[in-house]
Amino acid sequence: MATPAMIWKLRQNAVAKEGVGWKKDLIFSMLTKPQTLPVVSKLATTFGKLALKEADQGMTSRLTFNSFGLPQERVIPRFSGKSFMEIAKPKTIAKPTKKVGFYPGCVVNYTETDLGEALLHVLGENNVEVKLPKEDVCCGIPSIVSGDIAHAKTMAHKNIETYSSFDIDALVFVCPSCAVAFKEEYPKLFAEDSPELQEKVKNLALKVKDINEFLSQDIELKLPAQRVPETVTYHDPCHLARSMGVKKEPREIIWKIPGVNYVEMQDADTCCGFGGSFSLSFYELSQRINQGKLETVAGTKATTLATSCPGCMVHFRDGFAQHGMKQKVSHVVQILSRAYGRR
Amino acid sequence: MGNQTHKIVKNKVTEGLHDMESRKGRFRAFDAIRPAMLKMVPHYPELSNRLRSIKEYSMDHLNDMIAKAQRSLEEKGCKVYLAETSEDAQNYIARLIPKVGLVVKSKSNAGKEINISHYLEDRGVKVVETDLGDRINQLAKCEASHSLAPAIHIPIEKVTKLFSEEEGTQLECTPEALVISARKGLRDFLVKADVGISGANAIAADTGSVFVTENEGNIRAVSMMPKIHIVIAGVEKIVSTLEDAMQVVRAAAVYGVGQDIGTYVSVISGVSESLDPDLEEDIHGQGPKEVHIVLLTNGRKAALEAGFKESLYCINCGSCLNFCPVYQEVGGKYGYKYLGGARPGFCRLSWRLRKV
Repeated sequence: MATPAMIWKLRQNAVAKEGVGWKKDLIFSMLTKPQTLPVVSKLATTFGKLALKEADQGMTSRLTFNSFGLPQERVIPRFSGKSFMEIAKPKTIAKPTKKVGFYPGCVVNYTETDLGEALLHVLGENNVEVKLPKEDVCCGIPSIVSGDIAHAKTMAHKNIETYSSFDIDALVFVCPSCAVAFKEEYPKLFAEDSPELQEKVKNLALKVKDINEFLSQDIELKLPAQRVPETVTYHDPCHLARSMGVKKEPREIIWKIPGVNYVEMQDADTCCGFGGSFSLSFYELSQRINQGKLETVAGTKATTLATSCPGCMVHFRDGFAQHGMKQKVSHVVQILSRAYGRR
Repeated sequence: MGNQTHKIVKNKVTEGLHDMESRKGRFRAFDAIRPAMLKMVPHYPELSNRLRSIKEYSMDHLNDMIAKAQRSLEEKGCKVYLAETSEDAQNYIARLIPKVGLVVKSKSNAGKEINISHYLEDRGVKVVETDLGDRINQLAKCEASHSLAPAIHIPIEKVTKLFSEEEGTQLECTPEALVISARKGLRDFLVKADVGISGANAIAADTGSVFVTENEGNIRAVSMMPKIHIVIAGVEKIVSTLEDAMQVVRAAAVYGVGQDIGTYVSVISGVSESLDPDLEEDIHGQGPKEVHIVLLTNGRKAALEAGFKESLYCINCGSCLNFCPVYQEVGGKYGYKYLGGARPGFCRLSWRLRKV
């Protein structure tokens, strides 16, 4: 067992003995139900204005909930009125070169629907057909890292059933943490289950592709024509650079965009500090880790910070907002979509 | 994790985050170590793989390794004690030290694991840390802020005050004056000490050899000058051969600090001897008359059985800490007795199992 697996195993043992804590237990059990997040996000947008107020790149809480990792200054993503799954309309392609499924993940689905739209646009421009399910649940990574295997398996099972039924060449992701869940964690979760289920899980895992991988390796990428006059620097997300080994593909895509002045930042692949639920349990620490990155970003004089993970995007927006920095944060796919003429 | 553990961890993290002096010290250490590491590591592309197979073999054959090491060490005249628990080790060591005795000590993680300094001090023994950084922390009653540069967070003015009090005269506030004072004081303790306690970087099972490595030279003194030398080591330090032990020490230098090898590597294979003037028999030489090796199991076997053998491959070089985003901000509070994320894994396990 490598070190991360050992730490997770210890957490699983602890959870089996003592439970995962009432807060996480409640949240994880909500995440297993496909209706939950849409309902919560609707409630959040309708009544959110009472507890949250508009900040430049997101919202801040009017009250402080320190034990939930929500001090007043923290900028959290704006919940969308409608989830991505509800509004998404993938283009019908006459003669698609490839057919893919797209798993958006919670951040895209409920707060960053623009990223989902950008992905559909980019794939549409490249003659790739996209299949979307009617609904899905969280990938389960927050449960897995907390050691709550029971909830994780429930979520994983639903996702496996949904996506295994599609006839697709690849299952693309804009969030590398979700990608790693499907690719590496699901096979481990079901390692003791029936051979049929294991076969399904394995076949699905083989189809997992980060969007940068897919655009670079699986298709002949259409060269973008629209200029994007920004100074751009790129941050390597941990799961993408280290777990999936994808470092040059996002950069190569950015370099193809006309008008972009690309500057490589120092220590581009050091962690942004988000860590998912880590940022809720240890917010001050996640902010402190982020501070070093803010300095290296500022050092490049970039106007846009490009990255390839919605989690990193959320965290950098919070960091920028709290330090009065004006840089924009974009996913590589959003920049590419702009260069294809969207907006 | 349990509610209580969770609170403890949260408090430690907050404490660590707010200790800005330690943070400054840590970053000074990083500024020195990181570039050195980045330059040195590419020269040794096979070292980590080689080290891994050495450790894999040892942990897969742990019982054999312990038996072989014990035989070899005893054949060379050392006394070997297998301690199942901290208490066993503490009791055995305490029995070797005269009441109100003087102990000189060099850095030992295993020693910290069994809390040996405080245990002995509670019994009226004077324990003197001989590593300069550890000595400063001891006098300042501070905790180490970094594994290899433990007092780097303490400003020179404070050190001057501490050493001046210790020596009984006002010293100049310069590194040279302070080091001279430290050497004088420590040499005096080393000559007078009843017992020297050290750790071990590796133990070679074939030749019964204890390897220790350092840049300062104090470990040599601790293991040479007092009449009794006690080595405290976890059983995971045992490797098959002399050559394997050398790889461990090489890896610790390259990955830990970016050196090709530590300034001193001492290989101790038995008890000091010299031929008597009639050339008839071996008598006691200039080094220690007794060498005791205290091998700790303390939950490690249970950790192996539970599938955590990889945590025992760790050689405590500190390389991971040089790049860890959490350690960089939290510092010494990260981890329980052993710094960092991987080690607490097995420590917590062994600690919990003992509580159960």
